[in-house]
Amino acid sequence: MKVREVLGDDPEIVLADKRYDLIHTILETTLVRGAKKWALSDMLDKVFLHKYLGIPVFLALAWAMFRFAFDVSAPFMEIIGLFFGLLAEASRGIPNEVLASFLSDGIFGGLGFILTFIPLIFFLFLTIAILEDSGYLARVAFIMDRVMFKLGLHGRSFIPMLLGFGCNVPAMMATRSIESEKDRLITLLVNPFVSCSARLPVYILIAGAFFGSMASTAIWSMYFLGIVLAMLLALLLRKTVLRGEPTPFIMELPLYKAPTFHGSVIHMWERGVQFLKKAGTYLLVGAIILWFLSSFPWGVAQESVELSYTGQIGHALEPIFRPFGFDWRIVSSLIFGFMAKEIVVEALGIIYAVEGGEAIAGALVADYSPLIGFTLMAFTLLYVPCLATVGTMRKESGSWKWTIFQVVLSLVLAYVIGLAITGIGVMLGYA
Amino acid sequence: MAYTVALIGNPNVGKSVIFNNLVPGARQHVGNWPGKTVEKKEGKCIHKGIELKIVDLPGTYSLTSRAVDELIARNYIIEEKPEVMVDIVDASNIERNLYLTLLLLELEANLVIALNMFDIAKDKGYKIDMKALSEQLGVPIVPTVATTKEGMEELKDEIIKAAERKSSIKTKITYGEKIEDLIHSIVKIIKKDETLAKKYPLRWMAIKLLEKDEDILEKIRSSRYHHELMEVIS
Amino acid sequence: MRFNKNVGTAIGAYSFFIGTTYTVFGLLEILIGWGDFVGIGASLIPPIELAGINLVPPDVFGGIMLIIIGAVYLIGVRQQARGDREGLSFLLVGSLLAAVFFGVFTAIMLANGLGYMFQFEDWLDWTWLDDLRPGIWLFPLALPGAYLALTKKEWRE
Repeated sequence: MKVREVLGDDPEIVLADKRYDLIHTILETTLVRGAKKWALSDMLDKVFLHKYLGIPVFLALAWAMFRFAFDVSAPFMEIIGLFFGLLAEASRGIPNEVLASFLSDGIFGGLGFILTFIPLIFFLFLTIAILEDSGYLARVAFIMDRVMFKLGLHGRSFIPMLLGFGCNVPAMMATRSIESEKDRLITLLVNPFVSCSARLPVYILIAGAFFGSMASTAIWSMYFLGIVLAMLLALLLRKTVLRGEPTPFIMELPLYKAPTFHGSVIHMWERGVQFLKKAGTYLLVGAIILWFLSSFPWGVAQESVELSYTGQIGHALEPIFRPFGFDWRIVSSLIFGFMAKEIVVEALGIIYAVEGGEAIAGALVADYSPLIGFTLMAFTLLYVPCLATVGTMRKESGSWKWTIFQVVLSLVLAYVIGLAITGIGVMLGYA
Repeated sequence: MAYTVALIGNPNVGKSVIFNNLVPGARQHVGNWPGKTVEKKEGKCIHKGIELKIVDLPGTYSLTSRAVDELIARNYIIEEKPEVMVDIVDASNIERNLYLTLLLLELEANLVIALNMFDIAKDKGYKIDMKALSEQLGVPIVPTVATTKEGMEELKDEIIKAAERKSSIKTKITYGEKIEDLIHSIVKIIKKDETLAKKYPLRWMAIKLLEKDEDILEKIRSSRYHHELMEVIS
Repeated sequence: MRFNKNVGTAIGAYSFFIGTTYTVFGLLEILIGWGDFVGIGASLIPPIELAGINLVPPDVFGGIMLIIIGAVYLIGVRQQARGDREGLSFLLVGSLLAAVFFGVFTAIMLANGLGYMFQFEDWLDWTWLDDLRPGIWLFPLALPGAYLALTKKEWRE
């Protein structure tokens, strides 16, 4: 007996058909389909998935999200800042000079400074959670799919890209759901350009110091820059080293739900806690190392931080960054920022604390121009992804070759974009 | 008394909401399926003095051996043999969702259907005759709205009833004469191999062999009746 | 199904009114904010004041967002006027966006109020009028639309 002869087709398909036939027969007698109401969710989709309005509406909501997170968290950040300021002040009174400096400059000035960003990170995660829980983010994936496909990215790449706004590490792990190897590799390679929340403190510090009422727009523009570059790069890779067509993608849209306060707060907390964990480990170690390098050789560094180990490192590499107007402080901050991008801010915090504890934002404005600030933001976005991301890249791509390619690519890109921003800025007379 | 209850359903049917409703947050345990990167959630709840160990299986449309999620779900059902399986069906999308239900019936799982998103089905104008549906499938059905926790108590009642039911569901699902004949002849051969017959539901195995399921083909390779089986299904 | 032609025309006219209002104020925010934005310092048109209160803040991007809200309303007008129920979607989502922006701007005002209450350095000369902007006070216009789109179920049958 030959199965195929008996059934006339691939048995798997025949059986699937039989199952559906059976379902139809069962439902014929058990389900009455009444007139379909034009439900609320159809109304929402009509606009959210609109050919022309879809993307502008998304941009408007994203902008509102940043406005909210940035402006509402400001007074709360002030409260935490004042708290660590008081602690730093109090610990300066400790008789042991080294310990006093360690606590006030390294811990409260460096790590404490990073912790003032907690409200902001939590508010941002809250807004993301609300958009996600409502079912809207899946719509964004849907409208972006059309764009992504044209750019040679796979529709499934969008979810990892979206996760990248939180942290690139889980985002890159999420690329495992992409079946085609090429699609996956492209998504991996461009993912680090999606601006993760670790870069946010840098943007906030710089934008807050230099751009006043335009601060949230300046931050928003960094996210925009990251996305645009990621997409262009994907297109470029698709046309050159990873030639081919993206495989089509079918996705299902979940139903809209009114997000509950409780649910969104839980989601916010789950992600926010990651930042706290990072603060307790990476950023703490970073603060200790940075404080040490900035305060030693003891005595000399107290005269001028420029003579400390940090200053020496910064000075050694300063020539490379001269076109951007970065001095040794920024250069050494960027170098240590490889550990974790928040450390760029932590490092500036410690350097200025050791120098004399002036308010950072004020000190930055005194030392640099807004153009340098903007270039620094873009540079932080683009230059080498952090240590953990590089490790994940190696693990997920399974190759050192692609990992090194990514690192070199980001360095080159950061440098080129940095030059472009500086050039355009100077031309427009912002220098 | 403790029963193991596994939750299964298509993606986006409110499965995790039901899981959260059944198991209070603090009692949830989140880990990974052994050797896999797929998340595994489990937890305990006590209903009317009876402990229920609830396991959340990955959301799937089907139970083939091709996708990791599907394989995890089906291996769990075969190997761990949970006392009760709760199949969460999206009432507003019932047609597609019942496909998985049929597959679960093939697996001879002790099913309870949670007909979820009942409110949305109503908005869509659906009227479902639950009594008739339940009779035709031979499975108890509980209407639920997970987001408002409607039907959760009834669901737990029905789970316990199902767990305490002596005879398992004998499915009334048949696929027409030709296929049933084939299934029957394969079952006859498998029956001769006791180790196989003990490990898997016979009818299910026969269907999977018909479908040339790679995982099951692999399993029968070492059987003494491998040749005989291949003769039928090739 | 289609709703009554007269109702459709009325809804269309209402959407057109709100859409235009949001768009106009969006344009004003851009024109007033343009100077700041490109760094020339001078705005293209003088600030608009009413009883000493500055009505339109200089905010280029905020202005763009108001125009997007306006566009959502305006794109629905034609379908509404034809009596097509699908046109109601634009009224609903337009009002939803208006509500989101109202919520965000109000939250910002409250947060700044908190900073002022504690007399933090950056908030010393803040007044609540600084944060009163079109995104807030235009919102009541959008309320009836949201109400109609949500409650008039018979229009959606």
